[in-house]
Amino acid sequence: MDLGSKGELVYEGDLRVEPLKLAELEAAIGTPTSGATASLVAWFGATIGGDERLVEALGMDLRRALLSGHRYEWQRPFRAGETVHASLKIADVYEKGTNQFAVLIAEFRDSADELIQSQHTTFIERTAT
Amino acid sequence: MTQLTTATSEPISRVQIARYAGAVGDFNPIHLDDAFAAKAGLPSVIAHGPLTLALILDLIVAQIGAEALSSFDARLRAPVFPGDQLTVVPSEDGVEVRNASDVVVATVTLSRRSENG
Repeated sequence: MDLGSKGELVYEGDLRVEPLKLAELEAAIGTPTSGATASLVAWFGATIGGDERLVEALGMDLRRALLSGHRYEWQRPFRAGETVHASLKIADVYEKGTNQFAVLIAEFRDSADELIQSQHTTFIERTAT
Repeated sequence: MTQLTTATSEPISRVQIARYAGAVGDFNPIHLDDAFAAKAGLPSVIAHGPLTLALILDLIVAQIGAEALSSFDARLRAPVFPGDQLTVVPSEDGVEVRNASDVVVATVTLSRRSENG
């Protein structure tokens, strides 16, 4: 990983909570309650700018990188059809032992700038062998 | 307050993984391409971490509803493969998640809205 990427804003922009996207996610989860669950996890914050942009920003090797932790904090579920303002920032990149870690923070706000949810994501990249 | 109970998901399928990839736009080949996964030392593709988390969350939402949750803090302990079933077992502050081989694949700390006023 690129230790110099700490602090970088990976993505910022407006996103629409597309009913079709929620339906696709609901279908992927595939249970009687998956519609409600989809409204909590409509986006994986770390990839809102696209997984390629994330990989490029972090200089991450996908063969050695894994998601190690993820925290959702919800103020409310997403609502189908609403537009949200999303941002994704690289909060920290550091080495611990022989591994490297990246912490990303994504925030989603409504049109009144009220926080809908935040996500903290930690990736680990194992040392090449 | 509704107490969580042990619950188990259906087996995770490759189609489910592909559906999730399309829904969220995460096409990391480690989730879709066995040859790529093999180069990473894995026996097959693995489920997306966020899909695993969504399935865990869904087992909780089914019991207490989506509006009741204020936070969900997960540590992923082991990869999840096609065919795996996830079982959530209530713990002191959330749930422990095991596969059919009784391997802990994740631990989750939960906060409920009623706990935060």
